[in-house]
Amino acid sequence: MNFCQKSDLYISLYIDNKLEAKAEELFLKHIEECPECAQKLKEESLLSSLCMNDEPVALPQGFQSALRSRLLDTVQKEQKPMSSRLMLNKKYMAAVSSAAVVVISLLAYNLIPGSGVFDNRPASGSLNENSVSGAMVSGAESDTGIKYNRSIAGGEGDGNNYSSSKMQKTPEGGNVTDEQEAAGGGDNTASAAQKEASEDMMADRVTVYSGSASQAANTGNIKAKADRERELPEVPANGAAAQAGGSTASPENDRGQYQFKCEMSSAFSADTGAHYFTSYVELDLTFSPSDTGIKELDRLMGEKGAVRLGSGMVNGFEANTAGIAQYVDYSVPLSEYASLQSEALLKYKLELKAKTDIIKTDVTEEYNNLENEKIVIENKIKEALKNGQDISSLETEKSVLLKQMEAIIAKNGSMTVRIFLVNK
Amino acid sequence: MEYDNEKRLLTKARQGDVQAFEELSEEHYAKVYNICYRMLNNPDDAVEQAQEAFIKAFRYIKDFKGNCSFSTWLYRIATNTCLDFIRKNKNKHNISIEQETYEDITIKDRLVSDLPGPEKIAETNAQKAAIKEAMAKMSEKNRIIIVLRDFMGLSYEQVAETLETPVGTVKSRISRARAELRDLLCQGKEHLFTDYVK
Repeated sequence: MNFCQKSDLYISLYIDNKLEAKAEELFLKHIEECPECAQKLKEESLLSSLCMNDEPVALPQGFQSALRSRLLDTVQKEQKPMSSRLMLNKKYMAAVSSAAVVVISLLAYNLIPGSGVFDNRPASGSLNENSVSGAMVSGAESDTGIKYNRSIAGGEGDGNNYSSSKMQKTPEGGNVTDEQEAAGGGDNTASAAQKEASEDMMADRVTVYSGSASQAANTGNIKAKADRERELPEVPANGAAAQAGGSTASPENDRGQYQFKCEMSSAFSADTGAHYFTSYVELDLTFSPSDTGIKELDRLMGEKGAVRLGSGMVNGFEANTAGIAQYVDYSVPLSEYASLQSEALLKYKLELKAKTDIIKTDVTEEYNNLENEKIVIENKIKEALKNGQDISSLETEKSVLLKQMEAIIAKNGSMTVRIFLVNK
Repeated sequence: MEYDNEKRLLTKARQGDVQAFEELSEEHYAKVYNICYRMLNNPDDAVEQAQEAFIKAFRYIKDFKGNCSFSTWLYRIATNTCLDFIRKNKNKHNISIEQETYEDITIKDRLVSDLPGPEKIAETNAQKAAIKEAMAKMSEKNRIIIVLRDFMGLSYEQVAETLETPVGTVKSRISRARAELRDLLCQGKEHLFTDYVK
């Protein structure tokens, strides 16, 4: 056997005890006779032992928490936007398609001279106005103080965006194949598949942003749920005294309802981090009835990018002054809250005193539970689709979960501030 | 980890449960990080790519069919992630802190060091740094072999599964990788090396 020719292989196998007994005997005999191979063996044995005895490098501190954040972020990013989910709702698609066909047919028919059903109307433009007015409702309505929720689930005026979302989507089966290769085969396929997946998600996101643009323009990207409105009635716009009967329950109960029912959603707040918190604080604003304190407070809050959520009365108390509620709620960006009190005093001479500490509640677990519930429902939907069953109730369930998740994400970057109005 | 428990966690992780995935994979954090650290020779890149590997694993866990052990599957993703990273950053020259510390000492000097007993720790560190530097000069394909076999202590079969290569090929690849490392460290300095080895 010519050991010198294949010395590297034999030396390596010898070090790892992989030579058969007979071959090992012959190899050792050769080593005794061949100083060159013996030298190689010594060197390689030393190097291997140095490598094998090298202490493992300790895992850096914070590795686990950073990874958790990234994993949660991944989960969050992979949530499909509601618009693309609605594409799966065949009933919804059928309704939208039918409506589109009818509108286009009517428009086309109207272009034929003498045959238009709207010939007696002053101009065809008026038809367009009528036909789009429904879609405009959401934007128009939300110009008032509290922005009523015309969520994507409502669907008004979002039809075009749904179709663009579908066009961007890659068939699921295709993705699986790519992903398998990416995970196993690695090389550039992994990054390619990942890139494709992220592009897919980006495309969906862009759709959501553009889909909500018309609403966002009017609502400042904020939508408050109608049921929140029921919980915390707004001060009547005409300045009439707030009715005690319309007031909410005790402050504690109110806060609880607030935490869970005031659902804020920002179209651009998808990446707020892996841990979710709600932050709540109560402040006292002392002013005299003749002051313009409330207006100034609103102006200050406007400068701070805060959104007025509502106002109300507290049980057991009467209105402190005619036409003025006993407290006002705002959603203030966290970054702005720190300077709120000082700016109120310096700029507007408003005395905002902390009534409570900031109550920070970790709702990460709640978010994760919602996420898990959502996944279970998604699986049920898949099953139902396979079996040709109706999925509308599951879709509704899922959209409720998604709204709750969106609410948690949105609340993460803001502080809910309840300002009690106190007479001097 | 018990088989049943692993199976349960796998099912949950496949449904997107982050906590289950963490439970499943946290015992492998250190090993995956070490693979990345040895491959990339830079702690920051190692953290980034190790986390990237776990994120990929989480995203594609639905495709894990259980044909190999979960750890082997993770190592495979980690090695592929590192190789991709190296390819993408081919022109970027990384100098780790350790390399800078020893930049004025040649590889040979570190290996033949005959410092007295009290200096033994420094000597060992110098040897390790020499190997690290040589590793950085090796081809990626050979480096991954040394990392998996000699640093991580994986068996031939595990290396074969990780790299999805037949065991026979792994045998020859290990021998070639060790030969390259030996050449990088010792070529032309046999007499000095012999002094150290004896």
